[in-house]
Amino acid sequence: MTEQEAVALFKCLADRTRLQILRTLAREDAYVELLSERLGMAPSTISFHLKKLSDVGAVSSQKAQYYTMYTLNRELFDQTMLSILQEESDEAAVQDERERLWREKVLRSFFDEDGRLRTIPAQRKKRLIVLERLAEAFECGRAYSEREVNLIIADFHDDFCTLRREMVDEHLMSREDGLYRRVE
Amino acid sequence: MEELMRELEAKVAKATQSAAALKAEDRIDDANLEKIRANVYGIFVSVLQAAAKQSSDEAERRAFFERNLERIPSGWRIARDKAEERGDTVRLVQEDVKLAALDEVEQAFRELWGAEA
Repeated sequence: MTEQEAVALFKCLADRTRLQILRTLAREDAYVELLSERLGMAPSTISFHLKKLSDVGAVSSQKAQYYTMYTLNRELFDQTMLSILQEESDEAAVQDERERLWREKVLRSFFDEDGRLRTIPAQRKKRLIVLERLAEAFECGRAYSEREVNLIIADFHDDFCTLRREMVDEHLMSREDGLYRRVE
Repeated sequence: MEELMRELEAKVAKATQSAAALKAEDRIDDANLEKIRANVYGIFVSVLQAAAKQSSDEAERRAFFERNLERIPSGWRIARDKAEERGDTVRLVQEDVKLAALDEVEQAFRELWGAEA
């Protein structure tokens, strides 16, 4: 279910008349006239609500002799609220793409054509992006001495001490017994 | 004319009250249908007021009202037929509510004012 579909479903369900129709259909399938009689509403009003319920997939219908029988879509209602909330959001994808483009822009402005870091960003969010790029120069699972770490970072920037400490502070590298490891 | 005005105003008040009660019960779409009904009665209250301004002659006022009783809902009937063609149940019900309210207006007009013609 997309975010748009979830919004449409919840909007549709936020109506007492439609909930009454659904409760009736949860007990048994029914046709418009039967629902009209049971709920004390005009058949046209029932049809109106059934159309809205049908549009969001809450009910389905099929012709049966002279009547159109309406059925509750149990598959939809068997879903948990949590599973709906955990669906990938359209907006989340847009946000991810926006984030990716912004990261690229930050990297372009702080690294030169040779891959050297021009300057250490003052803003923490930008600094973190730069440090993440530096961390990619280290192999996962391998232990590095401080000297090795300094040499690798020095390829990017002269202030390797600051950058090394920052990588540890930001949990991109771990330090134990004088050895550094990239945090996965 | 005054009697018809009172009748239509009472219908506006009743439908408005009903819409508010339905809204309070979280029956928003049903409340909106009642609002549509109230709007139709309200339109013809306005037509009556316009008729009173148009002329002081009772027959002319009545003719003005009757003309508008024909003219105003012509678009509603077309909209209803189109909704039926498209299978647009939601719109169809809305147009039906308007036409049902119109029938009530027409009946009230015939009973309370039309007989004097």
